Amino acid sequence: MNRVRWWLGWSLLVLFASPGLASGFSRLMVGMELESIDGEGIDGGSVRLRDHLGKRATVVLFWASWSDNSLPALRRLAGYSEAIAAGDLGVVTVNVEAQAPTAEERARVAALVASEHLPFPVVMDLGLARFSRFGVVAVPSAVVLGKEGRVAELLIGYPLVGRDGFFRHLDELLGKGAPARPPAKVLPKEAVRLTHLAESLLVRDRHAIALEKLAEAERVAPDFLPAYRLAARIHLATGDAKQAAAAAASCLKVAGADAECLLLAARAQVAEGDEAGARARLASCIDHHPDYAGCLALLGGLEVKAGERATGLDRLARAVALNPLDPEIQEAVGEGRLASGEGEGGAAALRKAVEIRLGGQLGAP
Amino acid sequence: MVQELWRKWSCRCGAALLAVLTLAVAAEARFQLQRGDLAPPIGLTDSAGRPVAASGPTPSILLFVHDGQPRSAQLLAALATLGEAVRGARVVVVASPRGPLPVLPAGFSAVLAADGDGATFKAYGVVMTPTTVVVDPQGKVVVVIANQPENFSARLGAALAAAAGNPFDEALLSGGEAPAVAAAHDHLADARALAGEGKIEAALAAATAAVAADPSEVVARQLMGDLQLATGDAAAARATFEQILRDHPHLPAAEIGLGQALLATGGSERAVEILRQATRTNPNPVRAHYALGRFYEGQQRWDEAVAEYRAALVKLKEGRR
Repeated sequence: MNRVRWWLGWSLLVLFASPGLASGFSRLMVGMELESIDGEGIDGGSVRLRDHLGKRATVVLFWASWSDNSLPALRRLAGYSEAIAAGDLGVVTVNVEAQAPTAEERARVAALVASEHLPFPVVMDLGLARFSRFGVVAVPSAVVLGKEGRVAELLIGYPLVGRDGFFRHLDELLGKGAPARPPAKVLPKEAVRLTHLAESLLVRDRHAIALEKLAEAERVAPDFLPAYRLAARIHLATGDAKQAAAAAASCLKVAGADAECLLLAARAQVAEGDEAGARARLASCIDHHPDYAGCLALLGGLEVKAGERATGLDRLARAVALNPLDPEIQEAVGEGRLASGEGEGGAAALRKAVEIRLGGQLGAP
Repeated sequence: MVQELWRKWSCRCGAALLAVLTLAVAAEARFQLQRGDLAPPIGLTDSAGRPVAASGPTPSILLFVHDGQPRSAQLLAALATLGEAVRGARVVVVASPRGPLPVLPAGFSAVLAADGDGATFKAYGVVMTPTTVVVDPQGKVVVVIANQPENFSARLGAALAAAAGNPFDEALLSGGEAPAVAAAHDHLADARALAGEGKIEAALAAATAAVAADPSEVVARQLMGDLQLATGDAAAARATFEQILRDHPHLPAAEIGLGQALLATGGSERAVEILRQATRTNPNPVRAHYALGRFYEGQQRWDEAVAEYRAALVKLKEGRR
């Protein structure tokens, strides 16, 4: 009975994964312009991104006090900003403590900012609007903007492998290291507009028209990843695993190691019954992106299902520690715990998934 | 036992309710049609099977109603008495997916269309019945009027004049509410904004002020009840929802609110019955499933709690609330 329930739960998870709720930096890629993150600061004042642009580079860091790696990331960024960047780096941080932070949570964030003497502004992401809009997959995560305001680098989580490379790239952008990579290509705004239009059509269940707009976006900019990612999610949501696999394959053709594309390709494989292939794909995702919570969650769930309970639950716990605000991850954790006979833990995780989805729609564009 | 569970969960319940409240605010903001928007296609047929268009050669009045609901019946009756004021306008009555086609008042001529799957209600973002939308011959929305405000006939007249290209009173068209109604709406807007910021106590004060300014404002009363629940005052919430349901029997959101309030005040048997009913009949049953899940979770009935949460997730992924 439990196996049947498990399979039912996973089938629903795969088939109905909401295209509106991003599970990665799925609306961002290098070369795009970042939409506004302006909002109320922890000190009650207003914070505007444009006030911090124009330097050689600007970092936007998403963090929370409950995240183990947020404090180390904040400390290193603060040290780097003061000791190395010397005025050439703008930093704005976005706190994603909770959907509706309580007075206690606000006080905790304010106390941490004060005790650490953080030298940059902190936007409180009320309703997790920015978190959802950019599809933050792990906390902390960072977006680096070049002088002109376009995305130059994305850091997913704060993995041991990757964080040094991130700061080396900052060195390059600040002119303190030899350039190791060409400047980011400018992406056509029309592709971004068409993709946003497709997203807005989903609100009214116009999946077919949304897919037409995405096809148009792909014609305008064949290397624009968000269009392929969204198309794959729509196909998954409508139960068309073959088309989802095709969209994910197109995405991977453009960017072979893109975490979100790997995750979507794996989801399509699960939907088609190829769980072994999906597991291999997810292992590759985690090799490249150790903190990509979506890949960890899906792989953990498949491992629990295959009877590898300890490994799977460990991976699910890691995923939820990186991103407890992602409903898909909470749902995967819930189903994983239920499959392991943990009724209380399973129910609690599913409850969180419901609460996040209810609140997550707040910030959807 | 139930009170103990309530105390245990009230804090987290508050946060969840807050999320629900802010969601409701966001949903309304997202779906509300504005003047000048292109009217979405209706996609329905009349009783003779002919397609019904959103606009026609003359101004169109689209009435979204729910058969059996007193307010919808009152609005149809009021329109039937307007005579000259609506002469020349094309009237389309779109019936809620939750009920049959209404019987029109004698002498009142209109196209009747049943919105069986709720797609037209959804496309127009109708969150309450009755709602009136006036569309000009170019297919553009002129006004959206929720419920039946005191100045309904004057606003409708201004909208029809605007739709026909005749002189009209701009202030009336853009609101022109009675002072008490305007004050209630101001307080209500404040309450929503404060709730969105997580300031529940202040939001409750604003919602209470809105209800004091206009006791018939059902949206404010609903919000006040939700906020009373969020602040842990379940007894007050129960009274608020009971009163709403006396005035507006079967108002879906109030039924769910009452179910939640009853759970918190010891009326679990009736609460479960009400919430169960809501999961079967309310097109947006997520809060009912969620409340039942919390109830079963509190009683350590994990399988039943999981079933409710799974059902809530399925509905959420279908785009329901």
